[in-house]
Amino acid sequence: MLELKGLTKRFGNITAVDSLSFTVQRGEIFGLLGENGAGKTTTLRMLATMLKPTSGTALLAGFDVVRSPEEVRRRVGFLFGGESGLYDRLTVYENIQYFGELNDMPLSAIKKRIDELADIFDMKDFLNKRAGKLSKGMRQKASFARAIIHNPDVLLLDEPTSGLDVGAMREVQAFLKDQKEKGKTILFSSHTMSEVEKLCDRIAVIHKGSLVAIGSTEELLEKYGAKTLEDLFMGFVGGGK
Amino acid sequence: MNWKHVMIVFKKELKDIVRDRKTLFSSIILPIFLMPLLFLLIGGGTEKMSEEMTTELNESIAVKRLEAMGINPEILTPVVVETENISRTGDGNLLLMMVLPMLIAMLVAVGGIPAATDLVAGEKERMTFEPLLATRPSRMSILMGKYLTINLFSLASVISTLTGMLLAFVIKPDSLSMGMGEIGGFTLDAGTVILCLIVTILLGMTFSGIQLTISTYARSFKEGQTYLSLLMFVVIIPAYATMMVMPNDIQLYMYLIPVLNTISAFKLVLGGLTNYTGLILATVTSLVYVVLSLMIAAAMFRNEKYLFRS
Repeated sequence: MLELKGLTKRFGNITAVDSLSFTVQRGEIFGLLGENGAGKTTTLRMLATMLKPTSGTALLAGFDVVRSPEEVRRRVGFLFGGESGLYDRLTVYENIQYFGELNDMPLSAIKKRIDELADIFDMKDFLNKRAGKLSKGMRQKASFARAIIHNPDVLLLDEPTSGLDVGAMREVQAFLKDQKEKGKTILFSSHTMSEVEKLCDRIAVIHKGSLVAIGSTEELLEKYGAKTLEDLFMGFVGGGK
Repeated sequence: MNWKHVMIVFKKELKDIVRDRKTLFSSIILPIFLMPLLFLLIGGGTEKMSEEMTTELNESIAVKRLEAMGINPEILTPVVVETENISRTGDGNLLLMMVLPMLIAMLVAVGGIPAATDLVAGEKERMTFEPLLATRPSRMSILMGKYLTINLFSLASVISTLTGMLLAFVIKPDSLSMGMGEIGGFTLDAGTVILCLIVTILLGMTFSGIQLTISTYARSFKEGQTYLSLLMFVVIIPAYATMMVMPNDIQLYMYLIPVLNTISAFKLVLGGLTNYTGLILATVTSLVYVVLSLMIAAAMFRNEKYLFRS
């Protein structure tokens, strides 16, 4: 479970995230919608304990991000979209293994888990290739596998499917649904409306760091009288243009 | 801090850097071959020069003397010029005493730079840093793993350079003194040597901390390189300024200043002298510098303002 309590981040005079409060249940995929610069990444960074909140806090799997960051980190898988950030001189296997070791997994368990993930993401062919020699889609798969090597309870995904081709995107989406069924808490940010509509149980729209709407797609469409999610979104962030 | 995590980071960084042929080549392999080449070339050059100068001098003196005696200098033609080595064992130490301490102090202070640039500024640029920080280990464990790697590289560059010099010595014993005489006749005091090595290692640790700080401050690999090359000047200037100082003339303050402390200690060793007051002062102050530089690096590593700027 994931619970935000008045989570706020200020950089100097700029309030990047303004008192966000909402809860994501186990087995739920929750979408964070917002324009670039709306505060999505800052929110995810605070949840991953990389940035300290200016005020407020959040609980992940029962642990407070401010008070027990290490306990939070061992239960969180964090993935950045766009650039995948692998070590080019290490093989895919070594990249994933490194993160397994950092998360205190024994080598035998790491090997078992990598085999499992290689099956799911169809990575067997390039597991022993250096990451620097891979295509973007392969890199994205590898970094996805790396983010969840330690089987985290909570997944924080920042635009996880950006730059993926349709096939790879489907694999990721299928995997997320599977994780949801296994009772994981999944929070992911996106600006691809169709993807959000397809995957998410509930969504939150944030604009200039503040929460402007929250609920399931159907609820929100009905409440604000919009036909599509895109109309709804533009209604909030586009100033009703 | 968790030492298991530190070692995981350390081992991975080592594997990663060893696969980076550029860094490996410039900091370890190149010095081994460059040093003998350098010393053999310069050494050979000066030797030849002095030989020629002696011959010329001999001739002109002889001509004058013969003329003074009323004899035609042309009878000199059958004369054979003999070269005689008038230097004694130990004369070559003088040059070694000027060059070697400077070289070692400079290398130990800058040897970690390629690794340091890659380890934080490079990670930031390749976007691998954030995922790393999102793993379980504390920031201090990650910092320490990287710090150890930089330290190892600063030491490795010294060791490979000394190996290179040893190689030069084996190939041609007088190459290290650049033809100015034989090297030898050291009287080594064990305590002095040990303290000298400790001061050198502590200098490497201090500069590893400084390099880590700078690399963390930098936004990108390139920015890191720029700042770290400025650091090189900070090292080179005092090193050159004290090159001519002889072991007898070392002032007490020199033992208190990073870089100069190591240079002074090595000059003592090569000069066969000792100064325990100076060396102990150097050791104690060096320890303070190590702690300080590590504290600054840690503060930088905890500061999200610098950690995430790009």
